[in-house]
Amino acid sequence: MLLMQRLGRELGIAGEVAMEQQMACGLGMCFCCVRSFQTADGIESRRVCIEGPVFKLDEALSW
Amino acid sequence: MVDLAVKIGNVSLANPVMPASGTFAEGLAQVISFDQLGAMVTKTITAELRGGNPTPRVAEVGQAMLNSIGIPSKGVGYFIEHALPFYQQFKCPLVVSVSAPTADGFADIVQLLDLPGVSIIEANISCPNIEEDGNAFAMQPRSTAIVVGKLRKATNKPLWVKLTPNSTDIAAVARAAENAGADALVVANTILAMSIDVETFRPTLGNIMGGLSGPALKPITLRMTYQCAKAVNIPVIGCGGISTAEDAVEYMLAGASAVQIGTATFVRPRSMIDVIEGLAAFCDRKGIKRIDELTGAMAGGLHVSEFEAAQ
Repeated sequence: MLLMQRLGRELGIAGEVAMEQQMACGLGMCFCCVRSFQTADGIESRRVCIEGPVFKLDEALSW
Repeated sequence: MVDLAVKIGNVSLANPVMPASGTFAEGLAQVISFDQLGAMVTKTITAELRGGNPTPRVAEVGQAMLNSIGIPSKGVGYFIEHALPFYQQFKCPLVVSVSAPTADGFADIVQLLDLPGVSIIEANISCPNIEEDGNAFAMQPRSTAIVVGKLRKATNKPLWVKLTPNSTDIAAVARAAENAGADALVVANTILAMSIDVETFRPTLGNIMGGLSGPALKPITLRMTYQCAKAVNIPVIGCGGISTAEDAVEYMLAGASAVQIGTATFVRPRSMIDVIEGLAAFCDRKGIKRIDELTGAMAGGLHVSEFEAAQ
């Protein structure tokens, strides 16, 4: 993912990434399946099950 | 036709089944009708914004799961503006679970929730906090009495207090909550636990320790429900590892007036509805007219209950 993000930045190509996370409910209730994303306002948690699983590549953070 | 209605203090519920806090939200309305539930129980809200704990936040262990979510919360203002109007379309009571880092913080948040549509306050005093050195208020009778006393002064709404199984003497904590003004107890929350991945040497949870829930927890929290129901004169709501109607019956026989279902909803989102239907079928089969007859009806020693005699 980090390589794709770098290539996307260098070549000016927008991308998306499908993410995984351990999940309990799958309905947006339990907040288990969050991943971190870089936004203009700082780092934000988003649920893979309901806000994803596909996210903007340039906002996704690795572990 | 079996009468499934129960009373928790002054509150009447159409049936004794409701979600456990943290396992229920708007998203479940895609799967079940909330009007069929005895009550709705929100995920714990806090006054302040909270991000929650590092991932992974959930792990499977045997007949149970571990979680360490860390009460992420968008704050009480977001709840009042966005979630509360959604729940007001349903007829069953809304139980709002609250937490705060301090006893005064608990009093502050319930004052903000003195609103129509908020039927009951459930105080989650089973979470870590800053006044008790990373422990929970409900681990000790003294800290329980302080926080419940402040809550009692701060709200006229029915006040349910959710206890922790991570206590050496839960009956003493139950009595402290009752004496400080609780209207009902929820027994219990998850039990502190952990697991380690032996391939990676890493803890399975980002937070290392978390709460254990699911079927493996049931005999422990059932025992605590029994102890608390014997210790107090206010209703006890059983919670811990319930996934079938028979599990719910066990809790009621042990003294619970109602039950909460959590982890089972993650396995089968329809679990609460299945339990409600199963309770009606159970009572029908046993010739029980009113489900509240089950509360505390465990047969003991040489005593033969009228249920046994009727078999």
